Amino acid sequence: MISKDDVLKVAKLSRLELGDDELEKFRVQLENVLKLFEEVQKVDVDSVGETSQVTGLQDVVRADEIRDNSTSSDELLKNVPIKQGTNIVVPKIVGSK
Amino acid sequence: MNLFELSISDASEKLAKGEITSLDLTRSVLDRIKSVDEKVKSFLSIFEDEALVAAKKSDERRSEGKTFGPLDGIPIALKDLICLKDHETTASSNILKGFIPPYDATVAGKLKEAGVILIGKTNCDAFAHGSSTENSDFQITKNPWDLEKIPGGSSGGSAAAVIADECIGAIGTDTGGSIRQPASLCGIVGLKPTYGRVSRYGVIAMASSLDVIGPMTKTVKDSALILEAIAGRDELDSTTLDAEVPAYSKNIKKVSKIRVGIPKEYFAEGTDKDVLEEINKSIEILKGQGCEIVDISLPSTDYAISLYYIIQPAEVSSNLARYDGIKYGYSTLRENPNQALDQVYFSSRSGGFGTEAKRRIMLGSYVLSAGYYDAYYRRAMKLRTLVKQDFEKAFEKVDVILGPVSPTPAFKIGEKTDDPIQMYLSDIFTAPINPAGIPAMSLPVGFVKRDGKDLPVGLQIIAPMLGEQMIFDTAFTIEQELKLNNKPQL
Repeated sequence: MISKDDVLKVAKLSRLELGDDELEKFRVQLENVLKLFEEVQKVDVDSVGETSQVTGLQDVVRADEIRDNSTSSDELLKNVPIKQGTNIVVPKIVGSK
Repeated sequence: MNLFELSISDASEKLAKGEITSLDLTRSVLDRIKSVDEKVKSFLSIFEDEALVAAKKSDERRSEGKTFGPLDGIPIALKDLICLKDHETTASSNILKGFIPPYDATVAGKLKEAGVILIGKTNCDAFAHGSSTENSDFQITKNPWDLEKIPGGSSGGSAAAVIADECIGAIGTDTGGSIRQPASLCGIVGLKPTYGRVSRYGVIAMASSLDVIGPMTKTVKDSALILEAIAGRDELDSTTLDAEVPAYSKNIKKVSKIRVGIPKEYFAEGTDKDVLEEINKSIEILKGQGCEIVDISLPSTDYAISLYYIIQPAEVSSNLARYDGIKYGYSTLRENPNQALDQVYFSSRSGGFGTEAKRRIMLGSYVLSAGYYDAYYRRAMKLRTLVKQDFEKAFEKVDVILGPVSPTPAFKIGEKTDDPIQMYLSDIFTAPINPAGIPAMSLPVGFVKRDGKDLPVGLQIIAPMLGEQMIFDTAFTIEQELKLNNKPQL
């Protein structure tokens, strides 16, 4: 059972604002999807290890050397909403709510 | 025959013999787009001028004897999830509207190096979240076989473009079926390669431990030709496999004595009977070639879809956290530069993401949140081990596994949009493959009649890790026997 407060909590964690209609719609849908997941609670997994990836690759590193990069900072910053020179302008962080 | 109808291998042969030029071919494809895309709506953007310039260059190279290989001069479409330098790349989402990548995805760069003519970006479900392409924030792509039906998704634009002859081949991405399911519903060849076979660098992330990039083509050989060009280790994606890329297309041969696994769970009730009938015909073909048909069981099928819909949204919620309105993409800061930090996050994300993205972000945040992590996410990672082992055990007994791609043919536009569970369940046979990392293909094998129209059916051919050659060979054997060459009337 998912309550409206559960949905509000998860929306806050997700940095999403929901209207009243959306809130109720998502509440019902989340509840239904979680019912689908009841299937996974039935399987005995006590002695099973976790799989987070399938390649078996570990600690893939390259030599720590400076690479030639032809992309200019102007190009890299062209999608930034607000900038000053080559700086990204952000709202006040310290002391903001 | 119109040039736009050609396969990659046929066009490549004609180019090599000097029977056609890349300019002729590219013009033909661009004209085709102009005449049918108003109905099909496969494309978000078309690069007409650039494509013609690139085609001329390809022809010049060829006349100087400096051609780049079999893909040189061939018009290919890219799913809009793939970054292309200086070309708007949106993942079909409002939050990335206007985003211009400053670099090429590795796969786009490799295609350019192979001389491919990139003709446009195709529509998909926003951020690849969906099985019908209805979740695109911009337009609904239609199934060319019946314009009232969905083309499948999320790579629905690429699949529709291939069968409608709006390109000679296309690139898609697959996290839980997004290449195979639209390939099945549109009647084209769609390959989900082994995880790590193709670099993900520059491809907008959905669920990073599941995402793969692959070819969507008219024939099996074309699929091999594209995979050869895009596969391989990439220093910019540390999850790519350091395994040699075989000459898949040259190696293709018919199979005769292989062992073919038929999982009982894929043929159980719940799958459309007419679909299964078409699948069974392909099994008979392989039997006729001397292959051994082996009954197998994949018990994890019952919960594989659930574990997929835990792991995938969990990774989605993490990957989509980067869209914060600060660095790029839709931002309320543009109109309101004095907004407080949290307000920028909340209002940019709420205004920029569509319903399905929001649903998956919240579901992912839920299964990862304190108190639920063990019950959902950790448990799903354990079940992922069981799914992987299920396939490993099966592949001790058989060389390939066959089954349906989709439990039904293409459904009506709007039919499942209000019911996310029904939409999610359309991935029931494709989603278990990605957590296991293994390769699988959808091969067109027949048609079923619905509402007076022929709708395609795809056969899923599954192989062990790096078993792409076995998939190509098996698919080629069936393709050569069936000789399907029906095309939708547009």
